[in-house]
Amino acid sequence: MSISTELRRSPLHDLHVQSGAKFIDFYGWQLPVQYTSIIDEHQATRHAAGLFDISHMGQIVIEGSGAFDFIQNLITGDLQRTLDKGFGVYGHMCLPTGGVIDDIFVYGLKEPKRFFMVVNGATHEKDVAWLRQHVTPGVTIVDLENRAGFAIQGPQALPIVRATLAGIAELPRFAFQQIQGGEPNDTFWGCRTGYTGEEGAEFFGPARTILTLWKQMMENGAALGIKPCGLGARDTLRLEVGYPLYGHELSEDRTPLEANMEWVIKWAKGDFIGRAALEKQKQEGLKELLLAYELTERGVPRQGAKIFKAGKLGGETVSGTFSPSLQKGIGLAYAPLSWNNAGTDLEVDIHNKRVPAKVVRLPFYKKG
Amino acid sequence: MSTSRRYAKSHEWIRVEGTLGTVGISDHAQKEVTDVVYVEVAKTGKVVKAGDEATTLESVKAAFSIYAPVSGTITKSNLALDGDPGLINKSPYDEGWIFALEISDPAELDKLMSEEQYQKFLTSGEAAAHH
Repeated sequence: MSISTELRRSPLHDLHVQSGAKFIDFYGWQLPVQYTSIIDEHQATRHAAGLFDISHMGQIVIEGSGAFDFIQNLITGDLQRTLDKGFGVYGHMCLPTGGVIDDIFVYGLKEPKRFFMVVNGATHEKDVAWLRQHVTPGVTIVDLENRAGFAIQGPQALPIVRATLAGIAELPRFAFQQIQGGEPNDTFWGCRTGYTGEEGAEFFGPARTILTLWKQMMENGAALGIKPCGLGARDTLRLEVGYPLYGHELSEDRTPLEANMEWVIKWAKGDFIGRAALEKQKQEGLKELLLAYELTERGVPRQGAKIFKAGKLGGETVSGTFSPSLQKGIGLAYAPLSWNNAGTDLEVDIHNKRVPAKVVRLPFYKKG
Repeated sequence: MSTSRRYAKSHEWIRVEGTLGTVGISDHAQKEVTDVVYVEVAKTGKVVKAGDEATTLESVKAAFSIYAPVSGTITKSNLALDGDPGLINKSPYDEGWIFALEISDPAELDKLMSEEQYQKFLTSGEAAAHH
């Protein structure tokens, strides 16, 4: 257990301990996996509101006259959208091979040119090294420290946000605001984004301000059934709506095209690192494509579970879980393109038993 | 805290009446396992040795083996778990029992831990190695 003293802790850690959280090691961070029960927290988010600590995510400010072109060259998304519409831009940072370094969100302001990038905790250091390696004149990269962040998600999330802060709840989905407030002279970001398929917002800022906001959200949400939620529920929620998780669906060995996410590539924007390889792959056609399946008998598929069609091995599960909403096993797997038709019969190897499954369209879970 | 339950290092408990033992997993174990979503029905008539896998359960998090704390023949499975596997989380020592067995060697019970010994075992740090 001596290793846990070396794990990084969120600025919200003490609050989690008080709430009875059970912790796991997540890429060098000690984070709550659950407080009471993964299923209870999952259902709270689907039916009321869930609060998720996402302080392990990297927060990076990129500034300067060259910042726009610099970022535009590194991501598949079109950064113009954040300036024109005030929306966060989701995209992949790709290698020249088209493999994915990370999936990220960028939020930007026109005057002065200032961009705020949120990256995965697991890839944070690698991302910063990649940014620094490609830095151009007139660009400053600041890897922010003493930061925290949380997401509030669920049908009651926006009413709770509205009761806590003016403005954010009234923004359209994917829009953001830089807010002066919280502790004196603090600036934080409020974004109408999330990772659960529910309405909600994410907040990123200095640790002390985020800590205060978290407490206020908990207070204002108490009567509406808000619950703090761990990484366990975060994973079942994101998987039910088919959102990718870096290290599972996305990796340096897979392209956005193979991940069935061509929509993240804004072909009209111009050049960016990885574009040539992606164009080539699109022209030549894919061999494998991310496929979604549901088990038709009981069982829970896990990462690594092999996929068969008519007895022939062809794919491997990259994410799998029990879906609390659908009450069945669901999974995402890389498999031959020709297998990827809704209704196709498959078999999934679970503990050396072939469990029948069917190919489905994402999302697994749809509201209503 | 005083009960007649005895515990294996792999976190199963057994409660004995006559030669019949009822088996489940400890409160500590259900918390570690997290929400149970499926329990395989232990096969009635199956002969198991102490430490053999008697059945398996799946939680949201992972799959877990349930070991027989003593040798015997499985006589019954808790069929209520089929409809409500969460009983293991809600009531690990009572409604969440998993299977019963006819004990073939009662002397093996002495090798298991008492409640007090088990509680000590949990705080010893050794417990984590046995999940």
